[in-house]
Amino acid sequence: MSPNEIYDFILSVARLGVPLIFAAYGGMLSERSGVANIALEAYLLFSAFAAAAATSIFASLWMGVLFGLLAAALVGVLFAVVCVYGRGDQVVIGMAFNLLAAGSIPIFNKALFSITGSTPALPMQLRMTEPLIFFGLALVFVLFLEFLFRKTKHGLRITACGENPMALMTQGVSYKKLRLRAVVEGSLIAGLGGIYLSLCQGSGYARDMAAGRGFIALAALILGAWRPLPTFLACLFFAATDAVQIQLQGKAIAGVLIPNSLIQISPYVVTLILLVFSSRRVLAPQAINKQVSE
Amino acid sequence: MIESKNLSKSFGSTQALSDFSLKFEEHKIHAVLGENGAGKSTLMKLLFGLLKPTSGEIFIDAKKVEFQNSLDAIAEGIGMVQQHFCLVESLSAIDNIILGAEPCKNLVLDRDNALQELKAKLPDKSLHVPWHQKVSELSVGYRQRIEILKLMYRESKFLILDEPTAVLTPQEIKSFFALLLRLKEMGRTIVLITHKLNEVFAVCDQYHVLRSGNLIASGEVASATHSQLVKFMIGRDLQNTGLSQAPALSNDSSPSSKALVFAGVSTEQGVRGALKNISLHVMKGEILGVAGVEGSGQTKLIEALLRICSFEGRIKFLDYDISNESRTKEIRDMGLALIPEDRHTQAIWLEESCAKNFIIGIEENFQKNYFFDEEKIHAQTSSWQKEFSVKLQSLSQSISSLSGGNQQKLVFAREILGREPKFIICHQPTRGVDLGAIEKIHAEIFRLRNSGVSCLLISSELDELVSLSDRIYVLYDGKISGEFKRSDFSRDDIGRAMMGVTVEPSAGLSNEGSNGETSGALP
Amino acid sequence: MKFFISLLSSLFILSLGILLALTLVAFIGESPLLVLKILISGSLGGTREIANSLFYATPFIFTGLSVAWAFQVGLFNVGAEGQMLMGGIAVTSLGILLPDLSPVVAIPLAFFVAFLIGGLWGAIAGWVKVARGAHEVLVTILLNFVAFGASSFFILNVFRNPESQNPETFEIGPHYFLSSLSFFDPSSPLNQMIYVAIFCALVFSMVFRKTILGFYQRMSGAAPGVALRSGIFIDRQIIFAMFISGGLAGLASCGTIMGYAHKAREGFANGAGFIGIAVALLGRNRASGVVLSAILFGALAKGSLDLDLDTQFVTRDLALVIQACIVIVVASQPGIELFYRNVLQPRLLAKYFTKYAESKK
Repeated sequence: MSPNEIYDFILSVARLGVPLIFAAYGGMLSERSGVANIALEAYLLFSAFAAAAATSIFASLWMGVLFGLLAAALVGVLFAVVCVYGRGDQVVIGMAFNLLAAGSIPIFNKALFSITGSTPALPMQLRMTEPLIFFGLALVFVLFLEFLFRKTKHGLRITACGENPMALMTQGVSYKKLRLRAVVEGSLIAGLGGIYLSLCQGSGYARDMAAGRGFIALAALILGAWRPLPTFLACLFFAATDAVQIQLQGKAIAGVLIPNSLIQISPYVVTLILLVFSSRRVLAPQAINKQVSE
Repeated sequence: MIESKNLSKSFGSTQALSDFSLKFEEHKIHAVLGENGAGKSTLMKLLFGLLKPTSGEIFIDAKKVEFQNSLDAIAEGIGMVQQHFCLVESLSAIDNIILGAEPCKNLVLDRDNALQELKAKLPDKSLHVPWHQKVSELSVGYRQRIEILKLMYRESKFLILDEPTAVLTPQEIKSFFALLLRLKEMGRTIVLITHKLNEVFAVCDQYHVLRSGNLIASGEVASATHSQLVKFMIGRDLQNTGLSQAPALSNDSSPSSKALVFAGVSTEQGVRGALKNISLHVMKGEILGVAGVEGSGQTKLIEALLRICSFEGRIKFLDYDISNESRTKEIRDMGLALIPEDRHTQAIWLEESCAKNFIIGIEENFQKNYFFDEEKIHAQTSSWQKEFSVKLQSLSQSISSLSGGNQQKLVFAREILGREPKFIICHQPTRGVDLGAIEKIHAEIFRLRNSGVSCLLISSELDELVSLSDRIYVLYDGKISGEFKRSDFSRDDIGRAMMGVTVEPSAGLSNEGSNGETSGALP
Repeated sequence: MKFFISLLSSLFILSLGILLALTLVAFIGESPLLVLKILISGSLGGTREIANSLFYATPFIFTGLSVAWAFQVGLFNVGAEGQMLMGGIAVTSLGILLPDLSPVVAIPLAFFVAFLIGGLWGAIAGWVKVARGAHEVLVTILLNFVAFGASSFFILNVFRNPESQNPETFEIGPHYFLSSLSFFDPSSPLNQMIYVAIFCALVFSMVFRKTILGFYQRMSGAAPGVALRSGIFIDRQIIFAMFISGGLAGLASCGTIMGYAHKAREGFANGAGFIGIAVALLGRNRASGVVLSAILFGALAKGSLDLDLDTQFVTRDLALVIQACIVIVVASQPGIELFYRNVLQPRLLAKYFTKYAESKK
């Protein structure tokens, strides 16, 4: 490969990695505080949609960003409340939120724009054209989260909350409030990923545009042992498989043309293989998806 | 000074505490006594703000207080150490201590400052722990110290300690008592929740006895007697005074061969409680006691025998080498009864009926072509229930509605009557069980032994071990640190062995060394 | 008696879920009553409508049983969609490659193959869980994506019918066709597969209520510590459960492929795997509950088809929203019960008890 191609590939990885990183970090805050979160897909979809819709309606990128973040926060609050106060299985609740996203977004779309599927395409001046800004932001988050968990009060409490909420209770800290806060903070971070998807990577919201990235982000979180730097690297790795997959579409390998439908699933296959062969049984936060008795 | 007036707490229709009124005198060590379910934990949780009272009031220094959560209680100077420690294993000792009251300098945690402050509040170095080590790597003794350090850091004036000596060795208990006395000198008021009467007499000033949620008696320890307190606690006299005496070994029961042999057994290293090249044996028809602090390898011992964890070395059970191929079911069907440590997660199926719980592990005796033979189940379990007097209303009721003691009786009935055991493992058999039921369980263990069943008794209650066992092994850090014959039982020596000080075996024991001299071959 | 209480509370949850969804409808400016009317008339308005609702319900019974079986063993099978696709591929391949087998052999063989392949797809997740500790939710979701790609490949590339405008395969041999139910509207796609579904529900019920196998399966999920010490191989129980669960989901594809389309069309699963999750939860993981919930969701699926056309803002995706709301309400049950026990009940008791005490004075 020529230097140009390598450079393009690296850029591609960075671009594809951004939504994964933000989604994974959104999940990290939630899961480390003890709330299992498989609704990352829903975060991405809702914030992507809200951002695109608002940009279209108000003809302003800033409104798009604002609404994207608001949508993410709203979903975060709802999810947190149902998980913490409903005391149900958080994995089931997460699936429900994913279904909610898949079901309600087309309806909102039809209500706002009278078409199902996508929001109106955004003209060039209403798009963010520099994806690397987002990637830079992602790098900042890597440093920030490492700092958060090692050296701040909030990070310490989140870690404690995910391992043994009773420890917090007996020291006078409400684990419920902490979990609510952590989940919402996480949803805001994940919202940045959604905003990126519809305002930067795409030209508006397209149906099911997250395409399973929320789940890959979850896999990256697990492989990264719920720690900021390893998770970042795992996200980049998955982004690389995605970049490779895109390159391979339509190209013949050893003279054989592999159909796109098979190439497109290669990132998932790679993820599966990695999960199978990562021999550490990585320990999730101990208190995850468990209820504290009252 | 803390006072409660007419404090009551009910959960739905269960009344956990009724009308509790008491003044806890300052600068004294109080003992709150009572059986399981008497209301001790409920009372303490109310005082610490973890629960809100259904009615009644709490006064601190004559000022009425209402705790919304433990933060309020902490602010009033109350501190509590629960029976099961509330520590975050992946964090360091100092992090655990400052959790909830972390000092910060510009958004950054100021651990050094915290450490300095903490050290200043301590009387001397006796309470120091490895500050920056993760709790997961620290021993039980250190962990308890960390719990107490939390209270010191917050300068709690009123300390509530729930069964603090349950996990300590005799020597550690002595230093713990010294610590309590020093804290009393420093002006603290201490409340011990305990069921160990000898501790009450060793260190407490006043006693308060709870029974079925009511305060039955209160008074000065100096003027009370052992049997008086027992009578308060259970409402009647015990047939024996406290724990059962061991009947003398009859001539018949001299064991002729070995029921269980471990030869050079090691389990996966790096795990807490891993076995390290252990060799031991249990003779047929003897009660073998295993002492040791938590995490010394007791659980792995059982898991290796049951083959639910992997191990190196050889294990011979009832003259059959099970090291290579045997499966748990086969081993159990050879006549191995098990009373596990954690009843709720290892012995019973909480959501299921009593009848179904009676047949766990022996289902194949109750089937008719892959289906359950409901009639046979009913008939058989009814008779078992009567034989062991398991108090229940109907066999089809859920086992979760039975009391702890009755649940344990059901487990015993299942394991003893359901199989014809030649060997029984009892892991903390009387934990969480009332005094009356404890007598019965001890009696049952003796009856089994006298009919030729070998028993492996693992317990943290030294009294229980000493009164029941024919021999005692002491485990420390996955190795055997002491072996004692009945004639040589000494609480001091056993206690030292529990701390890892290897004790020389007395003359006349078998030729297996007690500090790890082993041979790989089976005897 | 217990059955009726369960039924009532399930109905309550269902109503709550629909209510929440209708609130959303009102929020976007559509009339909830109109939506409700469309849903009901579209699903129950006539024999044709009822027959079609039952047709939609058939795969939901299978996927509901699939997810319910897994839940009984403490596992969450999110992969019913992928397992259904793989089962469908298997059946279609059989039907295309061996069209001349006699019907007596063909149909049972097709069922067997659907079950086997769906089951293996599920067992993969079971194996990864026991061997590697990976949570079955993530593995089954990833396997779903792989199955999407595999089935697309299969339908669009391997067996694609070049003469058809639609993305679909060749027809399967006529010996594999299932016939319509004669006493219903014969032009409706409702077919004999529903008998198979009811049969599977009966077997499911019997296994978990009366057999030792069911006892071991449930114990492995509910009380693994006890099961382990009694000699049960929990690993094997888990893999077996995922195999059966996957197999049931695999069977779900037969109704559409063998009884209606007679070929595999792109997207033939149509979300049935995910609907199975709501069906199982609403049905409390019991066979009877699953069948009733499946019929309900079938009616919902049929009724919501017209939402696209007959309303201004609402689409058929409302069915997904309703499902999601139902699942959320079911999942919040522990919290609601706790609230009732700790907050409402004491207050109610205090209010009425003091009244009673007063009246006695």
